[in-house]
Amino acid sequence: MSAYLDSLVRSLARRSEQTVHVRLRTLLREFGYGRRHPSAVAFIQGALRERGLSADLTVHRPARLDDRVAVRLLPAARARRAAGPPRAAPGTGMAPAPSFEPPSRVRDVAPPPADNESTIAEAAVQATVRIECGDGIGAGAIVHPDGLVLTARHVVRDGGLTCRQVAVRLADGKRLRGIVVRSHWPLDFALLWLDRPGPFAWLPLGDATALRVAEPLIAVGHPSALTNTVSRGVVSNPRSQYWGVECLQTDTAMAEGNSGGPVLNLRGEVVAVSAWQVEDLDGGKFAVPVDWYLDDIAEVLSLGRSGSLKAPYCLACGHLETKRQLGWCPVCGADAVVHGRPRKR
Amino acid sequence: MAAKRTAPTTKPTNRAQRAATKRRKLRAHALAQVADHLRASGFDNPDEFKTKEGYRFEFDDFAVFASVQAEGRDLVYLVGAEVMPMPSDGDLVVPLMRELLEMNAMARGPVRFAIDGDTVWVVAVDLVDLLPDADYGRCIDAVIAWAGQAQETLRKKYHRTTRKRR
Repeated sequence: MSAYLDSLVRSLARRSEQTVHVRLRTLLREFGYGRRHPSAVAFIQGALRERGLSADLTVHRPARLDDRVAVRLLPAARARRAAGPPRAAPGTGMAPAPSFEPPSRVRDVAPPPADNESTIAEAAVQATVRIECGDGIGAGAIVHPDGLVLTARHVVRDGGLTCRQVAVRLADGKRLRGIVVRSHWPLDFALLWLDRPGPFAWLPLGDATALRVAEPLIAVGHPSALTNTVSRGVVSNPRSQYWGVECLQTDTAMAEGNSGGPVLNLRGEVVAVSAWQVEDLDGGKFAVPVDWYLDDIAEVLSLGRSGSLKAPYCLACGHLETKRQLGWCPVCGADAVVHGRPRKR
Repeated sequence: MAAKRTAPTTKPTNRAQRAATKRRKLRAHALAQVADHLRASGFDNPDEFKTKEGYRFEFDDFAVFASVQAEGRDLVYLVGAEVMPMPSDGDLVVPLMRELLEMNAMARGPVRFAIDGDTVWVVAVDLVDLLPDADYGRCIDAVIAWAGQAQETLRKKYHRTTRKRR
């Protein structure tokens, strides 16, 4: 396995496009698996990540064992290898690797050098959007190149229900619609699809359980409507209880408008979403770690954009019903259930 | 030649106008009672909290509203206080709903629990016609007291998730 990984790294180093394609069957065999089951995928992703690689591999994709899987260098590894932003596809301004990667359990990955922080922050700004719903403004992070945005539920809430449709502005100022397909309270997260197909600049998800006290963090948001503001801080408590939820407590400067924005580790991975703060307390900012809702992200991605837009979504409790078409929500009983793409205003 | 008999002297439009005037007066009276109560409770300038339908203010850490709304021919006095957001986990929603209904069954007076959208409320509803002046303030105090109590007990039990971190 180790020799195989070395050969992948060597072949990536030789190529300018920084991608190699390997057959899924070969990849599984090299790691000692005959079949693709979730633990095999998680193990392979972890081992690749340890070497600074990522693979376009999930339990649902690719469909057949003989299909090819794209293996790429992670942004942090690329930044170490060559100076410059991690947007590898030349001229596109896009992050290169279209895949959803469940975070690995590997805790010994050395953080990249400190001069890499600006590179990571620049990439994070490119993948952070501004969300407008009702009178409020919040932030969100694109976590998949097809345009899946992760934000906070209270950002997309208006008049006692979540909105189905919100206004989204990309980092380059382009305006799009976002359609909310899943949300949760009190975990305070929401998932929405951008109304246009990608690819978009995106951020990979990281392992929030591996965070340690005093580890540096970067947050991106739009505090007081100041767009694309980056702030830096440390982990104050990786497992702090707030509002009945185990949160990430940090002293990273956040204010209204940061809500829903990504909190990143120094590998450029989203580890949490900005949620709440104790006013007038520097160390009292709270973000909800992404591992609370990785399954929801995987579910929405497995349905795809059109599948999750067709499925009924409850505006009251945020449930996405994947199995039945009901006029009421099977979780909370509300009749505020919508499905399909909302009409353009 | 005998003169033709004229139509009844009271025109329907006059009756409607009189009813509308009466309702306007009743509404103004009800809102004045609410304002007086807010002043007595320490809100120096209740007009700061005035909305289209009544008053909306924060007490402790929850939002409270007191409004007068038209329901058909009647004027309804409606007071509400926000208790907590509804949880999204199905295994918490059903026990919460049952507990709210049980508390409603035991409740005396006009105060009840209610769910609107994604929020649990304590509300009190009464007809303005039948409400003595002293009851405007009493309703507000009762709603705030119930909401305060319920916040403590309900949030402890239901403001959480049954999910596990990965």
